Amino acid sequence: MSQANAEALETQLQAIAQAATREALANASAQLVALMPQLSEEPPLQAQAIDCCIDLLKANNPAAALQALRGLIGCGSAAVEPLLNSLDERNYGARAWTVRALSAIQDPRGLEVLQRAVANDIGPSVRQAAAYGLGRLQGHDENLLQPCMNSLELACSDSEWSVRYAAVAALEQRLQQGLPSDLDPQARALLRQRSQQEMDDTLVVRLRALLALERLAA
Amino acid sequence: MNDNASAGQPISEAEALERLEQRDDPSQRYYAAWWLGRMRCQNPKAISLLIDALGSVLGQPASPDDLMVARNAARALGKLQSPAAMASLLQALEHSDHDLREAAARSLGESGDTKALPALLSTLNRSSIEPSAATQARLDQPCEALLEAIGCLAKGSQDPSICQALQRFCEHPRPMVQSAACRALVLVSGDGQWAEGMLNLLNDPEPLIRRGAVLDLGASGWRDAAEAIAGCAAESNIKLLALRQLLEQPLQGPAPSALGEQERHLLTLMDGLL
Repeated sequence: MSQANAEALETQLQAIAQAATREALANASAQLVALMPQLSEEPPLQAQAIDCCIDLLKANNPAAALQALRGLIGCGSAAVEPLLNSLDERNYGARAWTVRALSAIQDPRGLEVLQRAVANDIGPSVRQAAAYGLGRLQGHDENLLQPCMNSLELACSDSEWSVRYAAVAALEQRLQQGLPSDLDPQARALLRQRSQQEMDDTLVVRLRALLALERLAA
Repeated sequence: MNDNASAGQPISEAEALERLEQRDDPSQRYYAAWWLGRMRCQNPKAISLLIDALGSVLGQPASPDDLMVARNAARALGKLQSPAAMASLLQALEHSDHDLREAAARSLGESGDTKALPALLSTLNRSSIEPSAATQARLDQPCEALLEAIGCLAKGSQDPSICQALQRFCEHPRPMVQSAACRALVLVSGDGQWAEGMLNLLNDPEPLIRRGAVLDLGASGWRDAAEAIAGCAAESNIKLLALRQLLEQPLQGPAPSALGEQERHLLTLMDGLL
């Protein structure tokens, strides 16, 4: 079994290395990602596939990067360390994909990267992904929840509506999972603010906040 | 020329007015015209300077520089929604420059003034639909801008003659013109059956066309399209924007002030795209 997997992986890695066109690279990436669930019991092989996916995030090929993102998310916590180690402040495109991956994997080790993205990233869709991810990081530790709340408060006043929308959805998730008594009122107050016309000029954000408050009251 | 002047640095309203008024440096005038529109400047002097900049190319030969400034002035006048600009924008619709006609058409749509409709329709009706239009760099008329403006201004009127004029463009050789015509037809007739052309384009092999159809469906306000939009192979942020429009500007009725069943459903679809 292991031998068969090793050979299958080698074939896919070669296909990616030899892809001559953008389309060929995207197709080869899709085939690698299709193979990855079989590798979950074999950490050394999975690590090779993860490294290849991380390289694909840097390839400036959105179709290939989207495939690689799926592959990394499928690996869950095994992909977190390699993703954190790969962060390259100079490569904007790759950093945006890394934020999306860490947001979807929900591992608390992604906290600092998501916080920095909410505070500093110039791409609204990256801030949006990071804000949503802060609602889903696994854990109930105060050292996790307090910084999450601080970043979500910041995201609630972002100039881009989609970031505020994601922050509202994330606050609802945090409250549904239960917050300690010092943070719970802060989260509810933020939702109430977003539901008010004087505080938020975007109707869809106000309605999303109303939906959250309604569900939390039920 | 001062390089910093046109590099998009923050300037004050007084500076912008000064830059538009001077005649030595067209790039400064170009930037100032854009800035006044972007900032929704309500100073009466801004409107008269912009109308002058547009008027300087109407009914007389114009240099490429003046034309460049006039196009931005036409765009800015749309954002400022000044009734005083109507006559100049209507005249610009007849100009020989395609991009100026396009800017004027969009601004007339943004004006919200239905008095612009007859001129927009007659310009649209003059456009011939030849198979060769699929490959020409420019159409004979800025059809997408005209269709969009007519859809905005005649929304809900159910005017049969307008609907008839729009239908001709559902068969246009360019998919984006078809999509714009369908969007306008849905808006004018209030009838979702015209959305079918846009729904078909959601499966187009070309990503740009799928993206355009997603945005046109959103702008049509036809909420039955929500699932198809959410499932389209297009970027999530484009789909979120389209779903937001369905929610905020429904084809039937005013913007929602509370959560109904449809609003809850749309929000659930949006959450799935985060």
